Amino acid sequence: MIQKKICMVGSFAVGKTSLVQRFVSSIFSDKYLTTVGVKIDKKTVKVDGTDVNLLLWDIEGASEAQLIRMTYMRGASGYLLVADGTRRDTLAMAQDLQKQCLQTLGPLPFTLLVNKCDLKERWEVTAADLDQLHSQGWPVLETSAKAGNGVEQAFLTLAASMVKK
Amino acid sequence: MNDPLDDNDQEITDSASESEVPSVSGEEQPEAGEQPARPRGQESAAQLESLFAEAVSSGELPQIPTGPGEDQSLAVNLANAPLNDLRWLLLAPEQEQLAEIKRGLDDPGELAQRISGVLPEALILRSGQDDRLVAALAPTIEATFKETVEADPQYLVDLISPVMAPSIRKAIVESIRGMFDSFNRALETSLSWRGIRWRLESLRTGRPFAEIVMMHNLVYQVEQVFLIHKETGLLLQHLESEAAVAKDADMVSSMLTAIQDFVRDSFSIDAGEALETMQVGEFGVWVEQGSAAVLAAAIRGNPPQTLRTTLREELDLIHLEHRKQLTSFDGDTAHFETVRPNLQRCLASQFTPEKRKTSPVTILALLAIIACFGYGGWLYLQHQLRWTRFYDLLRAEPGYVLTSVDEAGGKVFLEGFRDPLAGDLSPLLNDTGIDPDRIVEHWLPYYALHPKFILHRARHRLNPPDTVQLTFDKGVLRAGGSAPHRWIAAADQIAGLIPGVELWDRRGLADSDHEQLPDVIAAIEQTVLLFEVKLTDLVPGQETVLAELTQHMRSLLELSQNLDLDVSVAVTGHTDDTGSERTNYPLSRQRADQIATMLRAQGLQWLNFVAAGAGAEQPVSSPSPELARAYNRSVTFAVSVSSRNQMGGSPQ
Repeated sequence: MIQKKICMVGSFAVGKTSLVQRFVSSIFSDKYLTTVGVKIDKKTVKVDGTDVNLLLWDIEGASEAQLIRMTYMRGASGYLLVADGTRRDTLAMAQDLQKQCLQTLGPLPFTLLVNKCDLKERWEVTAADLDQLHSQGWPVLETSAKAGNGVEQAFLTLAASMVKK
Repeated sequence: MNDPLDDNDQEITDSASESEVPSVSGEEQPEAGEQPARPRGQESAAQLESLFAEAVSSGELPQIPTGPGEDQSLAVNLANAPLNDLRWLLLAPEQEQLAEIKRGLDDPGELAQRISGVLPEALILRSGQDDRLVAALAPTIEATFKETVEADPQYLVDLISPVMAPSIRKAIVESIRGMFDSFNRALETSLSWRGIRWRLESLRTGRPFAEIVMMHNLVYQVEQVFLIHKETGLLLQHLESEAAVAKDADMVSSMLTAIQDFVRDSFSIDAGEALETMQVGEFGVWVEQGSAAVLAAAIRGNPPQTLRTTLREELDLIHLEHRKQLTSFDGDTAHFETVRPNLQRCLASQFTPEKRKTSPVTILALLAIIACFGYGGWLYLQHQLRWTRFYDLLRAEPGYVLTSVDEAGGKVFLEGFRDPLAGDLSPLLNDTGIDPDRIVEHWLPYYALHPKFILHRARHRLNPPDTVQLTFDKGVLRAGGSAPHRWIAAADQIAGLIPGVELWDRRGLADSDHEQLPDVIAAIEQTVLLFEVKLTDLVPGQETVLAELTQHMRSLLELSQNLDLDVSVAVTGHTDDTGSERTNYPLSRQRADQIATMLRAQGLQWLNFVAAGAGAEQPVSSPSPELARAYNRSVTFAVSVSSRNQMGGSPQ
């Protein structure tokens, strides 16, 4: 069995936890996020016919005052950056986090998830923003915690890139 | 050492003609450090070369180039001067270079300089190929190391102490902590209910209390063991005991790692330190940190500190055997199937199962104990009842007055009063089943006034003949039946003096002597002893009558003595009416004397026989007229009695 540690980081209230809730199995309550600052979920995906266990470290939301605990990122094979499409600052935060991760962990596979695509009419994040990131080589996926769009795909692509790596 | 030189040589031969330095380029070339013997040809060639160079530079010789590969030996071609000139002209710079290189090779200082430049690369290159380098260096390095340590051991200590000290310190701290844990547990439990129970157990089993505490405290089970990759927190291998309720081990593993990180971050713990124990009630997680992996054991109960040693040892073993897999871990846990035996050894447990189920042996033992107690109780009750009954009987027993009972040394001391006439206690003891040996008696004599005892005492004192019946009632001692006169007289004297006897009543008692006397007298007086005609001889057959008479006489004597009577027996001789009165009297007198004398001779003289002859004048009545004469040839008796004081005189 292949196991991989992946992390999920992003600003407060971008819907990280609710985004993956439906797609992962968990034995820990959300309380861990506010107490320990991290909550572990598990997601099993198939990459090239092989089961890959993704241990998802849902890391407490970052704020301007404090980025995330990088200790929790240690040993990760990849990560999901989550931003809230309706809050532009969360995209900036995602970029900051990406920088921080790159600095601490080196280049790792990651995917940017721009959440709340069900509220597209209220988005502050523009297509141009995303295009720019895309042009930098960022894999970007628009997701919705409500509808569950793109989440499964996010896990799959990330797992695939990690295994190939 | 050879190879780098070879490479150099190769370069040399590449840049210069092979033929010019044949001895340097061969594989059989001697060790680098040695000075190779210079071949003669070469030496002369070098001299010639320098001569040529001088000549050419001074213009004595034209510079003639020499074709490469044409000549086999410089010496051979020396004669061919123009060719040499040509060669010189063509190859002067290379020749100079060659000379320079040769100088370098010849000069040890320079050679060392050159080799030092490539030595590290050469070592790396060679160690990648095979182990010969290690084999070659090992003895030297070992010897050097040994010499260094022997010369200055402190050097080694200084060197390794920074590495070892933290581990040693940690080990000491842990063992002291383990000791304190045990001590604390002992203190905590010593005053609790459990502590008291354990103390009782200690008393019961005879084992030291500390051992009992340890025994109970050491009950534990390692329910799950996680081998976790330190860097990623990913679960490498997991084992659980049968009893464990394990949740998703992958997630638990990651969370354990997260919590470790959390603690380390939150409390600014040194990088080398880590969370070692998490404890919730009797459940705990022990974490052992390795350089690449972490071993976490979920434990229920109170494990001994030795378990930590086990975890440590197994983790070290795993590191030793799987170092490569651990450092190059890419998420594939299949490599770690082989650590399962290591984890299995960590899945230790120690049970002292509480004996909820009572074994049949225990039940039997309990029943036996109950039976023993029951039997003992029953015996005790019996014992008590026996003694109670004994005391009751003793109190009721005439002739005994129990005043105190003491028990000491298994003996029972009875004190009180005892009538000398009372029987001993053996019937009572037999009756109640009490061991006589347990009884120690101390009785003071006394007269019991119980009617039975008064009667008893009266019998004892009066010793009545069988014909006497004694009764006692309300102070009156009564005698019935009959008794000899003398006994009655004695009883009259004593009876009133017997303790408890207030009145002596013998009205119902007959005097047997008085009653017999008339009969005896009658028997004597009715006796007629018959004599032959004219003779003083008894008629044949009268001996029996005489014997009976004598017997009666004896009775009479006895009775008279008993009754204190004076007796006189008149013995009267008779004759029949034939013959003359003159002869008849004397004859009758003779007959009477003869019998009287005979009776006296029988010891009956106290009967005062008075013999007299009546002749034929006092005829004796006969049963029939025909026997009248025969009956008058006889002796008859008459008894007279009087009380002694009336008689006054003594017997004849």
